[in-house]
Amino acid sequence: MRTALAVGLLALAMSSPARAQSVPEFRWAGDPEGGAPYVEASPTDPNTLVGFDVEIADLIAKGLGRTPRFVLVSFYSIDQSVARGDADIGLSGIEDTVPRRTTMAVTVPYYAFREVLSVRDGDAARFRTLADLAGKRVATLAGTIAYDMLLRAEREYGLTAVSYEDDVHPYSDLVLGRVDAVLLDNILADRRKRTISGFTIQPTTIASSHYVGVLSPSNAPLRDRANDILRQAMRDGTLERIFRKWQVWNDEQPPLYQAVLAGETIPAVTGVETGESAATLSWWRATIRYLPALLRASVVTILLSCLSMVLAVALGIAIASGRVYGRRGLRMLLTGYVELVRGTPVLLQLFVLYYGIAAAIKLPAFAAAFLGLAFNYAAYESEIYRSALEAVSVGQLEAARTLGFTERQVLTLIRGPQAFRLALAPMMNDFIALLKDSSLVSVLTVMELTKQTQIFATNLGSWVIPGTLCAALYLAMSLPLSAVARRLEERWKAATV
Amino acid sequence: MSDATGQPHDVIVTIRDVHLRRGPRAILTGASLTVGRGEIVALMGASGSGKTTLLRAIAGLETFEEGAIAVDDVSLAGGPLAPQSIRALRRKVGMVFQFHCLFEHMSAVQNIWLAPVHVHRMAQQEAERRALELMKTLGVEHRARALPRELSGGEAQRVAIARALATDPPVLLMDEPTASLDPARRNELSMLLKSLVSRQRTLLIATHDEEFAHTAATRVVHVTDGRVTS
Repeated sequence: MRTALAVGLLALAMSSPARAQSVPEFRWAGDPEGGAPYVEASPTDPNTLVGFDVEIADLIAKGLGRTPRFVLVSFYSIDQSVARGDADIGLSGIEDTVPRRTTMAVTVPYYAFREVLSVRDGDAARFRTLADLAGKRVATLAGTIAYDMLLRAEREYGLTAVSYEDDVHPYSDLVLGRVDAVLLDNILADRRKRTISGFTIQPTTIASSHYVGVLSPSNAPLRDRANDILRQAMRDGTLERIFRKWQVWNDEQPPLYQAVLAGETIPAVTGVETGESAATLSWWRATIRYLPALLRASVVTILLSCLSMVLAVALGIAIASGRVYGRRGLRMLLTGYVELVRGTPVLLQLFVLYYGIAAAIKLPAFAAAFLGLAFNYAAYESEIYRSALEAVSVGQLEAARTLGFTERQVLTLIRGPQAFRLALAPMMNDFIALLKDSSLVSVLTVMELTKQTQIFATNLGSWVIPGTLCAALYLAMSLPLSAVARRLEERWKAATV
Repeated sequence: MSDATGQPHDVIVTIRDVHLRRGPRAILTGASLTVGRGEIVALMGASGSGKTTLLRAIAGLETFEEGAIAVDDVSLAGGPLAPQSIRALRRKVGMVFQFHCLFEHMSAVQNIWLAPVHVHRMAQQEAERRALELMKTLGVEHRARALPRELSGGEAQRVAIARALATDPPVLLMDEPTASLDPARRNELSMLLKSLVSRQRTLLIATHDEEFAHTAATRVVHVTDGRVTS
């Protein structure tokens, strides 16, 4: 869906008459997956974007005398994308944080929001603050202020932080009982309350911050011009009109605007001790701080990969045997399974397993990730084993039959061992691929290595150190596997040529 | 039907009016043959005449539509083969394939003791001792630990013969045994087969090597267009 939207938006951008007239563009990055009221595809025309951030981008572009052009960027990559020059500014409900102020050129704050706690209706009386949630699972979006707060609360109160990549599923999982609370912006909580029933938004403000525009640190002059335009919009009521239109104007905005217009120093986040920012640390201290989390995430990655591969191999052998030896009906059924799994994205399968069937079977995140990867890889493994079984010469099978072996003995003593040796190399390749594909399960809230790296990079404002560490850890896991595969292949080579 | 000394044989293999088709093509068109115990019968014929198919039908590897095959006290009728008949048949018949078809992942001696251990429930130590004895008889005991790919054509064939003999079947079927042998090895094989028959074993050999057939066999028959003609 996102790809279709991107194509549509690209087509829109290409057909724009303004482009033909060579008016300078004002490229702004955002993520429509965040949805209303920030940025979303218009319900009446999916090729058009609507939202308050769209209108703020238009406002700044107009003030600059440029034509706005939307650049689709994942929410988690907006800073990096802007820093490398893909867009002039990022606007998509971007939080005002200390690391962001340190590493990027940020605009003045243009909207004040509160971090609020949402709990199931039945828990409203007992879960009012983070301290009440000891031993409970609390969800939020990864890489946000709320996530940092939950990590701190993990240490202080003994709750478990659960990270999501969108702002819908934390609330649906709250109602389903997969998590016990959600900590997110009041705008997001209010929006979900309109479509999902069964949860209560607690009135207490856990922390507060603002939305800002983010620009490349080398683009400070443009940031200053954008600030002038935003200040003017605060003075003349344009911003108020925009936010009223999107029904998010409230009493918290006028004091913010007064402070901005008075040139006061506004803290990035209030109500929470932010401590030392990763962005201000030396690379060595940042590494020391994040390495334990990365190592823990590596354990999740290797455990998940090993368990999934064991089940995938067992299922793959069963499917391959069924396709080689089974009756017609069974063969058709198994072929259908293999084609279905190979013909659809693993991400979709993970979503269906975790969210799609949640009303009937409420799988825990790790179990859904383990089963999803195993079911997916079983289809690929079965094809490897099937072709390996068929590669064992018919003559050997007939020779075994004339010696009186049963079909089961032919499989277990003659065909299976030879097929296994033939399958070993591609199987090890698949295991290494699975190790890397396991990064996809972060969409199911499993904190594996790539996800942890992404959070590290977001906090640090750079991918260099986190990316290098992440690559080193993946290599540390995959290189021994390659070495084992090579050794086994060499040992058995003589018997299989 | 008598042996070299002129004594009559008791019948061990009877093939009566066997018809076998593969799709539209008739492979055996009423093949009949009677073989006495201790005979070495060479089945000669051009490629595609049906001699290999006839051996495969006797080994229970092919289903035939009409006719009957009997090996010792085991009878097969036309149509789908009953599993119990197949099991009984395979205690009577051993087969050596043209391309040996040794189990590629096992050493020569493992190839030989595998069936005695897993099919006939012989203790592995005893089965291995007998396998090595058989290899010694066939002159390949020095290759006991070699893998099939490390054996020469003649060695592989002897190992394949030893494998077929390890379960001690009264009837041994051989498909084109001289195909991979030089003339010296062919003579050795001829001598070897005669020594096997001296132990009251019956051999049916499909070959188009006329010289070998006349040297090795006690009787030569011809297969033409799916029938045994002489």
